[in-house]
Amino acid sequence: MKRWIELAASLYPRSWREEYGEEFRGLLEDVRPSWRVFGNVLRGAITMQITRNTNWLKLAAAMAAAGALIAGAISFTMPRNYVSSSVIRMTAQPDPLRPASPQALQDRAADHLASLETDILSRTSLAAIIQKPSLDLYKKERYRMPMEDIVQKMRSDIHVEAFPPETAGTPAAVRISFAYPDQEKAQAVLRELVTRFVEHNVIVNRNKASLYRYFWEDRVKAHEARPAPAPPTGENLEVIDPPSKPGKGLGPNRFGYVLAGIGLGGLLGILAAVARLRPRDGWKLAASAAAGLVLATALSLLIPDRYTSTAVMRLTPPQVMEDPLAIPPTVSAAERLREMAPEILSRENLERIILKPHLDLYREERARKPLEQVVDDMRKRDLLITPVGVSAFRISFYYRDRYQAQMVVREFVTGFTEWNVLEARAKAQYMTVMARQIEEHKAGMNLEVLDPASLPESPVFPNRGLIALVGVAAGLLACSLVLAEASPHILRRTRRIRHRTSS
Amino acid sequence: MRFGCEVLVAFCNTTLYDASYNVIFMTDPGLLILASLAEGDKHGYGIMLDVQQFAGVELGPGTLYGAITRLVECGWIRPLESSDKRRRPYRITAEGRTQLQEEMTRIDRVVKTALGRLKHA
Repeated sequence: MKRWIELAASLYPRSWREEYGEEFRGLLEDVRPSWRVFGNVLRGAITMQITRNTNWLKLAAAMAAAGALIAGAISFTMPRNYVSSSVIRMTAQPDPLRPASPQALQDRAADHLASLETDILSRTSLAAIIQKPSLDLYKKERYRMPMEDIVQKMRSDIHVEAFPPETAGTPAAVRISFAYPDQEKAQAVLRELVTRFVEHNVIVNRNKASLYRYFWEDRVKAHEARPAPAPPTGENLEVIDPPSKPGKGLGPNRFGYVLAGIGLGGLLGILAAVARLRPRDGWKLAASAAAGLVLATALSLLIPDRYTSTAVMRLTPPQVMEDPLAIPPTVSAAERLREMAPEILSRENLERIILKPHLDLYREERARKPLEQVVDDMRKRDLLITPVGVSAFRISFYYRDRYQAQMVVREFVTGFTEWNVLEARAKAQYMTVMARQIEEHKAGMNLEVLDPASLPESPVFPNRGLIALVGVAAGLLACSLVLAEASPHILRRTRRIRHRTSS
Repeated sequence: MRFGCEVLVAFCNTTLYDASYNVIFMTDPGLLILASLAEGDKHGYGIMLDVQQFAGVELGPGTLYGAITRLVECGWIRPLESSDKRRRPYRITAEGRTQLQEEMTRIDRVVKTALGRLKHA
């Protein structure tokens, strides 16, 4: 015990030991050694290091090391994540009547797989998996986070990795993995995802086959000569690796934690060094941080809430074509958006939406700005239409009222759908009735709503937690600057006192 | 920025540092050490035993020397020359006596008021 106490005593700053070390050792010889004495000496050493140590760098380094140790320890208490993974492969079936190059078949399979992925990882699909009673995922998070955020979190836990085909004609394959703290659930979720891929593929293939059959039945009736060929089987989806049972879980990013600990510890060390001369300075730092927090929180409360509603739409080529086996052309969402946007985002259309009686948007802005400017602001600031992948696009609208945000996105979804149908009709209006029907499909892409307009549950702006943190940091920084400036005054004063004492 | 800092420094120096200067170091161990030294010069272990005797408070070595260091820096006590470096005695200064007197008067006022109020309650 005596050795431990001596060790703790050696942790006092060198300058202090030079002045009081001898008599302190004498005192330690007089007192009865115990754990209590050891704790008291250790606490005294730490306090003295903070209040007396003039070497900022040393103190900051010591605190950084302590921070790294604590953060490392915390990272060991974090729950492990278990990853289950599975590999699925898509093979396009060659068509005996219309042979295609291996590259074309490969492209078709890859597109088909990407399309399935978009469907299965859509908000609706993932929300259904999360809420499935047998799975009941993210239970704790669901108490405090909106479903939209939970879905986003699940998306980040799902990892889809495509294997680039080595040679032309190699089937498209992807590895799907899912990370979750519960080993059994990680596997069960992945099973569910793979099942959905397979089921979805079956449905899509069945639909294609029926279309194909109808098409050939029409042709056979018309010509009465050729027998109808058997419908193609569509793309084959194979599960190469079934969902694996996760083995050893993946822990948190310990290196990241230790780095954060070093950073935080270093910062605290600097702050402690700033407050080293008097204990009162620590209170000043805390008071400044609290003032910063209060000020920033008050400011953030003055900023009105903004909510965002989003919807995802996908463009697919028409399914009824003259030749159902022809490789469908890729539809570029960006290209199609360029065609649709001028109409949908035209000033007249946006004005119509703003002034709709049940929406009545930007009432305050309209009172002080011309409508034209309000429309411009809406277009540039609040409305965001971005392509998602190759053939889908996302519509997001930011507004202070969440219900109105959702209704506006619904308006846009309706607008895009109507525009698509109207354009197809306009192109097909000179055709015969039958031809018109076919041409209608030919002219207009199929526009599907993958994610309907969401009802935002929490505001996306302002991020009050972040603002409050910035406030704390600003308060600490301001106080540190003041104390750094004040240090020379304090030092001069301390020297004066010492001089007076010694004289 | 520099001007702003200087203004803040001036403010802090006048309000926090000076006005509350006496209060900052007048923590319990400091007060007990001053009270012990008011009787006569003592070394660290002597102070520890005396405080334990008259106040029933057991000051740990770390707490005792933390307080001694602060009191010396404030000029309220000072170390005396001694041949035995391991038992260096301390003496209360005039400034230390004044501080102790003021603090005792304040505590006395608080105690009297509290006792009076307890009586009437």
